[in-house]
Amino acid sequence: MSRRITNTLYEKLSPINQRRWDTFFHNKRASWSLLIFSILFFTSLFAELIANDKPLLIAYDNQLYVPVFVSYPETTFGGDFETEAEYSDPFVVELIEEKGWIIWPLVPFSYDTHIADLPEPAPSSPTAQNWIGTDDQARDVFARVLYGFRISILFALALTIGSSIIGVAVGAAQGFYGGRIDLYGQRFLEIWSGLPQLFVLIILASIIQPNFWWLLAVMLLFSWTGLVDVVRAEFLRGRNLDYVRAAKAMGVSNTTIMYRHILPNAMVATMTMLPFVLTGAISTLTSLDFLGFGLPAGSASLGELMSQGKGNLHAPWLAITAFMVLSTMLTLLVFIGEGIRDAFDPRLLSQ
Amino acid sequence: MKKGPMNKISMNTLLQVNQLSVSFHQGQSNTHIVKNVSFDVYHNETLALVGESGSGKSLTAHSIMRLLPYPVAYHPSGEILFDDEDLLTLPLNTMTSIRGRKIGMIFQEPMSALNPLHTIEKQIAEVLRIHQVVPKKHIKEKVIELLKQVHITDAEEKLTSYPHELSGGQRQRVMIAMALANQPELLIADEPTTALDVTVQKEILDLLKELQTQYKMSILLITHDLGVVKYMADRILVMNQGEIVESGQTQNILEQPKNTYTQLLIDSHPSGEPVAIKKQTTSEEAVTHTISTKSLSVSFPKNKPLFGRCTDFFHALRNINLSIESGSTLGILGESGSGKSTLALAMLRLIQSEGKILLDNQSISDLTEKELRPLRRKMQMIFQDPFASLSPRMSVKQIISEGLHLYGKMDIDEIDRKVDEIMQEVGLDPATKNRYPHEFSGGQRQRIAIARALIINPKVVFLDEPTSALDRAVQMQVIDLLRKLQKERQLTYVFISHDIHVIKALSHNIIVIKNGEIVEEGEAKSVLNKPSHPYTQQLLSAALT
Repeated sequence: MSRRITNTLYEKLSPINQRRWDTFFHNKRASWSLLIFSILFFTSLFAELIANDKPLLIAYDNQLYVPVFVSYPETTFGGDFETEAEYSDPFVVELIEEKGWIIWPLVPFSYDTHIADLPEPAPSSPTAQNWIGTDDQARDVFARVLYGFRISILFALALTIGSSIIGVAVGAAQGFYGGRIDLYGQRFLEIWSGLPQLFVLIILASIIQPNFWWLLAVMLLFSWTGLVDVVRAEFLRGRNLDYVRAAKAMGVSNTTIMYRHILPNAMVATMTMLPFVLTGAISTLTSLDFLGFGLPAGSASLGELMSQGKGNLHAPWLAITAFMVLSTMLTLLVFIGEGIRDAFDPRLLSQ
Repeated sequence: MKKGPMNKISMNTLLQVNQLSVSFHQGQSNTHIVKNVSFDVYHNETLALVGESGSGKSLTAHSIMRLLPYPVAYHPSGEILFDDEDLLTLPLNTMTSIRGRKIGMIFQEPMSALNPLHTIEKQIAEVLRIHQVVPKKHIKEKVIELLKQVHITDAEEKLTSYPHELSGGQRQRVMIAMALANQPELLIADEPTTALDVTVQKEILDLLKELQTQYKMSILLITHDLGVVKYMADRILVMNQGEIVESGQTQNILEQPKNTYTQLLIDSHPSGEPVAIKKQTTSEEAVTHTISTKSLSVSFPKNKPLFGRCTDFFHALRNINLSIESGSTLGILGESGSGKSTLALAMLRLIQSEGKILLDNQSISDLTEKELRPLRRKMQMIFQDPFASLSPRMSVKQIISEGLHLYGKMDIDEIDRKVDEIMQEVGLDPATKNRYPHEFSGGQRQRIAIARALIINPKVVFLDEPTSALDRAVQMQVIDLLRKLQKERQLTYVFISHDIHVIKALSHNIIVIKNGEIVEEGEAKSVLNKPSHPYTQQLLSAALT
C-alpha cells in the first residue's frame, strides 16, 4: 500500500527530482536516518497517548470515558470535587475500579507530573516504573524527553519555515532588482546580523515572560538573514540566464519570472541549507533553555534537562539522557541533510 | 627504435591504435561509446579525426593520454602502441613521463585549460621542470624562446602576465608553447580553434603548420570543421557513433566520399539563397521599416563610485543607425566582443541604451517597462545556446505555451491545440510535449526555442548565433526551417553571427560591426563580394571553406 503511494508520488515528480529521489535513497546512511527520524518524530506527535497521567480509556458504570481528550469532574466517578478528576490519586482509581476498569498509557506520567511515592528522594534513579529515572522535581525523565523532543522539532520546523520564507523573499528581491535595493539591503543585513541575538533575548526575557511564540518571533528576527545571501547570489546569476531573458523579452512580469523561472533554481541552494538551519535552530533553543532564557519554567525541554544534569552530577542519568537524545537527533538531521545536499548537487547529474 | 617483443610498428608509424573501445559504467548498465577503432599515426603527418559532437572522437584522443575519468570509463578491448609500448597498460609513473614529454596536448578552451592563478612563465616552466630536459638556470631563457616561437610579441613582458590579461588567440599560443615545450613527437589538438574568431583561427592554424615542420612532429587534429581539415590535414578519419566509417587522403575523401555519412558531412555546408522579399510596390517611400534605430549607443560605467556620477565609461556601442525592411533579414557580422549581441539586447530593450528605437514607426525607447510589455510580443529573441535558453524545470508544453497566457485568456484545449500546431510547424513531434528539455538534442531544443518565440506571432525575431552551438548537419536544418518560417509568416529577422557562410545563407542586408561601430553596411551580395572596408576584407579572407 505505502509502496504504491510512493510509486505514484515518484511518477508525479519531474525527471530531475526523480534522479534526486534515487540519489537520496541510494545513500544508505541518509535514508536510514530519515526512516529512524520519521518514526521518532511521528511517535512524539502522539506523546499524549504514550506518556500521560490521564488514562486512555475508562469504563465506568457501563459507560466509556476518554480523559485524554475530555475533562471529567471527579463527581462523574462518584467523587467529592467539581474539579477535574486527579487520576494519579489512588482514591479516584479505587472509585473507578469499583464499577469498571482503566486503560493506562504506556507511561502513566505526563511531562509535568510530580510523582509523589518515589522510593528515594528526587532525582531518583531508573526503575521499572521510571525507565530513565526522575529529575530533581520528581518528574519522569522519559516523559519529559518525549515531550521535549517534540517541542524542539516543532519549534525548529516553524523557525526554519518562517525564516526561509522571509529569507527567500528578501534575497530574491535583492538579487533580482540589484542596484540600489541590493546595495542598501546588503548594508542593512550587515548591521542587522551584527546585533547580539543573545543579549536582545536576555533583555526581552526581563520585560516579558517568553513563551513558545514569543521565542519563535524573536529568533525569527535574527535567523532569516542566513538564507538571504545564498538566494541573492542565485537570483543575481539567474536574472542573466538566457531563458530568463527570453521570458522577459516575451513580456512576462517580474514577479512571474522570479517565481516561475528563477526560484526553482534558488530552491536547490535553499533546500541544501535547510537541514542545517534546522539543526541550528534546535541547538539555539536548547542553549537558551540551558541558560534559562528559553521556554517558560516547567515546560518540557532538553536544555532544561541538560542544566539539571549539570546541577545534579550525582544523578548521571539526567545528563547522559539529555546528551544522548540531543546528539542522536542532531546526528540524524545532519545525515539527512548531507543526503539532501548530495541529492541536489548539480555535479552529480552529469555522472 | 627499440627492439621490443611486439615489433608490430613499422618504421614510419609513430602511434598505432588497435581495436580500441571505450565504455562507461552508468548505474547498472554500461554504455559503449567507442567501438573497435583502429588507426595509425605516421611520422610528420597531420591526421584529422572528424565527426559531430558525440561521435567519440575526443574520447578516442583522450584515451591516448589516458585522461578519461577512470574507473567510470574503461576499455573493454584495444591497445595503443607508442614506442613499442601499450599506453593503456603502462604504469602511471611511466605514463606521466610520456604525457607532456613525448605527447603534447592542446584544448579547445584556452581560458579554462590555463590556471588563472599562475603567471604564464610559471605555467610553461612547470612543464619544463617536471620533465627536466632543460637545466634549471636556462628555464627562463627557454620559456622566452618558446613564447617567441609561437609569435607572442614582447615575450619578456608577457612572462609575468596572467591568463585573463591575454586575448583568446594569445592564450591558445601559450597553450601551444606549453604543449611544445619538450618537443613532443605527437601533438594532440582537440578542437584547437573552435572557440576563436575566424581571423585568429587562421593565424593559429598557420602557426601549428609552421611548428610542425620545425619540430618534425605529428599532429592528431580533432575537429568538426571540414574547413579546418581541408586546410591542415594530410589524412582524414571520419567517425560516426563511435566507429570509423571512412579514412584516407584528405583530398580523396573530400572530393569523392564513399560513405553516405561522410557525404552528408560534406554536403551540410550552409548554402542557398535568402528568401525573396515580397515587394508590395517598387517605389522607395512605400517600403515599410519594421524596426529601426537612430544613434543608438550603449555604455557601461567602468568604475561606479558610491556617491557622485561616474565619469569613465566603456562604450559597447556607438551611434548605431539602422533600419530593417519588413520581411527581410539583416545580418550582423562581427567577431566576439564587437558588440553585436549587445545591439540585439539594446534593441529589445533588455539593457539600458541611449538613442531612439522605432518599432512600427512608434518610438519604444522612452516607454516604461509596463507600457512596453504589450509591445514585447512583436519582438522575440532566440539565443545561441539551446541548453541555456530553456528552463530545465519546465516541460516543453509549459515552455512553449508561456507566451499564450500573457496575451488574453484561453482555455486549456485551445492552448493544447496551439502548442500542437506550432510544434508541427517547427518540425517537432507534438507527442513529446510533456517531456523536459534535457531529453532533446541540441537541434530539437533550438526548435523548441523557435516555437516558443513564434507562438505569439512576433513581427521581428532576433537570432543571436542560433546555429553556432549546433553540428553542421543540424545547422543546415535549422537554417532551412528559419527560411521556411520567414516565407510563410513574413517574419523580419535580425541575424547575428560570426560565421560568414551562415550569414550569407539567410541575409538580405548585412552590417559589419567592429568595436561597437558599424564599419560597413549594404546589400548582402555587394558586402560579401566586393567588401570595401579593410576589416571586412580581412574577415572574408580568413574564412576557411
